[in-house]
Amino acid sequence: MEADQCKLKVDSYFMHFTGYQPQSSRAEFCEDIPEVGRTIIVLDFVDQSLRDIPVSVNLARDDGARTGDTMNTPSSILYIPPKKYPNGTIKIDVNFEQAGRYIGMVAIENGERNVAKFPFDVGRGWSLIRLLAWCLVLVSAAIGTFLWALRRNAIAQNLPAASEK
Amino acid sequence: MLLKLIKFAAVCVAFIAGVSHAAAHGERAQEPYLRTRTVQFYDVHFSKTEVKVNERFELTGKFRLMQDWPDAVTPPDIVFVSSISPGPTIARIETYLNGWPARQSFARLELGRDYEFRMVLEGRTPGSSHIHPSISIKGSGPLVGPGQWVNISGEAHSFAFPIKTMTGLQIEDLQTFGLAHAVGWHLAWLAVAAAWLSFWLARPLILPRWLVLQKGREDLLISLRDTGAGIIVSAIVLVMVFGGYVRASAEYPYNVPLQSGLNRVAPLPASPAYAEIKVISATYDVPGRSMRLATQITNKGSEPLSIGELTTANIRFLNQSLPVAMANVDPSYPRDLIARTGLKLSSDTPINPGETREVRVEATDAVWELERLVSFLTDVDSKFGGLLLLYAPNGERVIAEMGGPIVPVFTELK
Repeated sequence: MEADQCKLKVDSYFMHFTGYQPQSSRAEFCEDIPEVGRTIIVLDFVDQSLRDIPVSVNLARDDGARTGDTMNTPSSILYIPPKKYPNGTIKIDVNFEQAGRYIGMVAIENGERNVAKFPFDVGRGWSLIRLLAWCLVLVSAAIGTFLWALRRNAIAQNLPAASEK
Repeated sequence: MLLKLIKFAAVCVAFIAGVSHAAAHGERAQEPYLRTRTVQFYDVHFSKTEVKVNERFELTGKFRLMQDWPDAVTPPDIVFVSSISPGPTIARIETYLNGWPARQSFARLELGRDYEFRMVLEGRTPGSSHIHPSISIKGSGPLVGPGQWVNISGEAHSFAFPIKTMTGLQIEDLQTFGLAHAVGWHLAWLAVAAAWLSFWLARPLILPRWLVLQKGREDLLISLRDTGAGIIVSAIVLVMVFGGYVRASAEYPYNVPLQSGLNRVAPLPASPAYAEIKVISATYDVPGRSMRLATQITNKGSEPLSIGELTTANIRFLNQSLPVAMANVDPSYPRDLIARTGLKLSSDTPINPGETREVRVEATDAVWELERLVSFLTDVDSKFGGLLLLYAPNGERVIAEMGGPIVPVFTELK
């Protein structure tokens, strides 16, 4: 966890962010969510003491308006009120219906309120399968062109020989 | 030129400054099948977690070598018991396996059996060090037990490692003993090497010699003076080697060569197989961080047995409604390896002698992810392993192995 790239810091506490889209892939996502649709976001508490602190979560469309640390805004698509998570993990099941820029906000209530924000894109990324599919198409096209050129060259070389006969 | 030197120095300083202190040693990077299906540590105890430089503490515990040892891992035919720390922050004074001194490796430890270790360690470098017991297996590498932070206070320069040899020689500090000899010999050999290189570098080098070869005049390449220099350097080398050997033999007439033999030790007496566990199905709810097992437990003993704990890869899930299981938690055991909400059981009443009962076991915690134990789901051999600890009313503990194939799921199974 020390060199964790998917780490989220709230006050002095750390959480680990993981995204899943089980209907399209078994891959884990660290930041951006490649497809729209059902998504599971999991926040794991790296610090044990975070399990004793109420945590709230808000996922909202990033409409450009900076509303400070306000939670449960009109642009919210999901809001989980403050509660404690003794298991050290928050599982967020959300359906992103539209592609675009979103912002996640995690607030902890440890005497004072601290909020961490994590912006992410949905439906704009290249999924691994799509990337592989495009690579396959490009490689197939390149091989096809090469074979066509080879065959054309061979026919052109054979033509005079045929006419000599 | 000066500017270049300054730039080079700046790059060096930036590189050194950018190197962060390694607080851990990659135990989470080990494949989950290595950690869940090979060695299961239990009863691990650190006698102290706050020590001073030169203060001793003990690391004790037991481990079970799992019967369902993975095919991809070399079996424990040659095993070395040790501790792991981030650098030489501690000194290992003594090690024992089942009471036997463990200076050397042990041969052919038995699968499915338990062993007990004891290490005497000593604080060396001030700071907070993550210390693990470890079992190093030839062909497989080190398999580490639970790591605990040990705070070492004091001054690094005050550390000393005094020993008395078998011949009665009192060495005040082993870490600097013979250092002057080592430095002296290195300097002597460097001087010989530098003189030899300088002698040949002062002569025409590759291209002139190649041209001479092309003209068929090999006789010009090595002069009489070259031959003389070669003989003198050979004589110096021989004198240094044999002279050093004679001097060392005279100064230290009795010495023990490095020990390469293997010890053999019998395992701890086998605990009666009072409980037999069959895993009917096992799933891991990936986003829920929850392992769910459907088990069939048969009590083959004469006392009722209650499930007290599931432990795997040093992580402990405790049945918090069973006082004897909670009492078995050593205060020195790392808290981050004990799941906060414990173990959930579909049936919490004791299993009577002769009874076979199906029990659903659920172990949920973020620790699965934080300890990076989830990636075993992408292994070619997706199996898990662990120990189930059961307790009789009189407090007797029965340790039973469990394991089997596991399937990842993304939905909560009812």
